Amino acid sequence: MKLTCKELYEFMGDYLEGNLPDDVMCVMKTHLSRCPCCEHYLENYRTALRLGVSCCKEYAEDEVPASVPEPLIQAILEARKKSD
Amino acid sequence: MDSTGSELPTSAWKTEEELIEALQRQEDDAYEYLVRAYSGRMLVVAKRFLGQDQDAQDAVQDAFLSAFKAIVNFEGNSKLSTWLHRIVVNACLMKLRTKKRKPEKPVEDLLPHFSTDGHRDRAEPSWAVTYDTAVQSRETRELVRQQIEELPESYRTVLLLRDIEQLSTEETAARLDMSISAVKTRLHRARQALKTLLDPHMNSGY
Repeated sequence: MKLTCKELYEFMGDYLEGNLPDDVMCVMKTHLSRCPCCEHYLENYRTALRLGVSCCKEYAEDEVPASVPEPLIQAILEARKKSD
Repeated sequence: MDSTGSELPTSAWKTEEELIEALQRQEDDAYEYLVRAYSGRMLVVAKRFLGQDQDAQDAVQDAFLSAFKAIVNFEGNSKLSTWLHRIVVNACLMKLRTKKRKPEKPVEDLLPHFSTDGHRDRAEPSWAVTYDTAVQSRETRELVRQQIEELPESYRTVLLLRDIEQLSTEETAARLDMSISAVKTRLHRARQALKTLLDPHMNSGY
């Protein structure tokens, strides 16, 4: 069994999650060891994924504004009173 | 997660449990504290799903109104922040469902291309900037978040639910009324698109 680069790209998500049958994992590993282009793409793809998670989760506090628009706070508190 | 004993910064309530009890007694100042203390984080989440517009503020307002109704039955099985986070994600998904969709940018422009024999049409360099270096830079973290916002909405939503909110593929499919295979494909395309959007920065270094 052989995979083209295009086919390998389609399996990357499942490959990273270990969701592929053993024989496909084995073929992917062989391809990656011989194809720097695919190896680099997979590494960059994995880094992009890790960065997305880290920037939105571990570093989520970066984004929290020092203050929320006061009209929004007042609108929420007013809406609570109206819904009572 | 047990909320008992969680200390609250600068508030009239020493613990989260005390705040929850005050909310359940319908004390106005407890509600105001809740809104002021948590709306910033909730707005961040809503902006990720809905963009920098009024929709995000509306989703936060909807989320608080849902939380106010549900607080009576809140048993403290999770932290308030976790509970409110879940509620605002739900409010965002409701908004996305009812929102009039703008035409999306095609994602194909952000995907890799191949020659007819299945090889890439160009070489892929290893990124010059490593994960460890990138994540330490506040500027890069901001750029990563901006590029996530740049993803076409239907791809961004799947990426946010699966990778950031860490819902399972099955739960994401159920929430978005999509098939499991469609979620997997869209997630993969979204990650590929994010990688492409980060290429110029990560290839050039600093």
